[in-house]
Amino acid sequence: MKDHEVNVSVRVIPDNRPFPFHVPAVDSLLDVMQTGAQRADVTLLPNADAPLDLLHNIGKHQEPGPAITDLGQAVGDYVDADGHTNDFGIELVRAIRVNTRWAIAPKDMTSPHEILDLFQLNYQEYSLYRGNSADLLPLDTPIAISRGDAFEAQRDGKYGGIL
Amino acid sequence: MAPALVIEHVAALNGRGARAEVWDEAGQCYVFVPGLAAPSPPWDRTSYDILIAIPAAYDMAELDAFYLSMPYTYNGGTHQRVENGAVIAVRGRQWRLVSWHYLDGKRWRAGLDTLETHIAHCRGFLLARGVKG
Repeated sequence: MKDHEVNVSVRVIPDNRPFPFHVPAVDSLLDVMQTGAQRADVTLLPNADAPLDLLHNIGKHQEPGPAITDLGQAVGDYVDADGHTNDFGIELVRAIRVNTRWAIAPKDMTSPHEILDLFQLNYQEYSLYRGNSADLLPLDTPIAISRGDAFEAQRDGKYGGIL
Repeated sequence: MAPALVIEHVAALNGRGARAEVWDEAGQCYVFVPGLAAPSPPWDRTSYDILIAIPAAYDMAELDAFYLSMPYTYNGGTHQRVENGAVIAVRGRQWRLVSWHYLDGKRWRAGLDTLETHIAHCRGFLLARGVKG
């Protein structure tokens, strides 16, 4: 492994403002993503250690390449490979949470039925609520979804005994 | 002794940023869930610790109800569905049983429901969500 530093830049897609910095060549692409997110003042979801957000290499003509699947590889090796540049872009995905799990919502307007399906929860068994709300979300009425939205899926309950 | 599966599920919850602990009290296994958020008012605080009794045959045997940390007030008094619950002492604290159950026809399903979904079910009590009876 090369013992040197690599100059990189990270931008948040589609914002084209690059944040340049340098990192040890042995650092991982995840390290680059984490530092880039800090420089750009964005929070990776669900957390910086295992983000659902995506890292792309930015081509010579400023076009984002496909999402990089192996974030564990060393940045020095990556940028030395043919066709790769030192410029990266973070794609902030529409990450949503149900209970303690996270997934990427496929579209801006999504029905609770689709959300439960996304999390492999049976819509006939579970009710969906926004966090801290007691208002049941109608199963097939699409709702506006934003990055970071939190929901709770629960089996509804009943009181025991007779007063 | 705690069932191996509940230990696994608690570890998974903690790995996803939730907080839960396995407790053993005189041979009865509980899961301690600190700081479960509650609306205040009507509750007197914004979060409560709860205890969930874990059957030895978890998750083939269902989870049911939970214990609320004491003291509490609800609308300045007691909650009529809590006030008559049995009180237990665990780790030097008192906990009152909340008789909160799954609906007929939508009962616990082994392999589908987990500690995580039960905690969401318990949250439903504090938020008065979907109460059918």
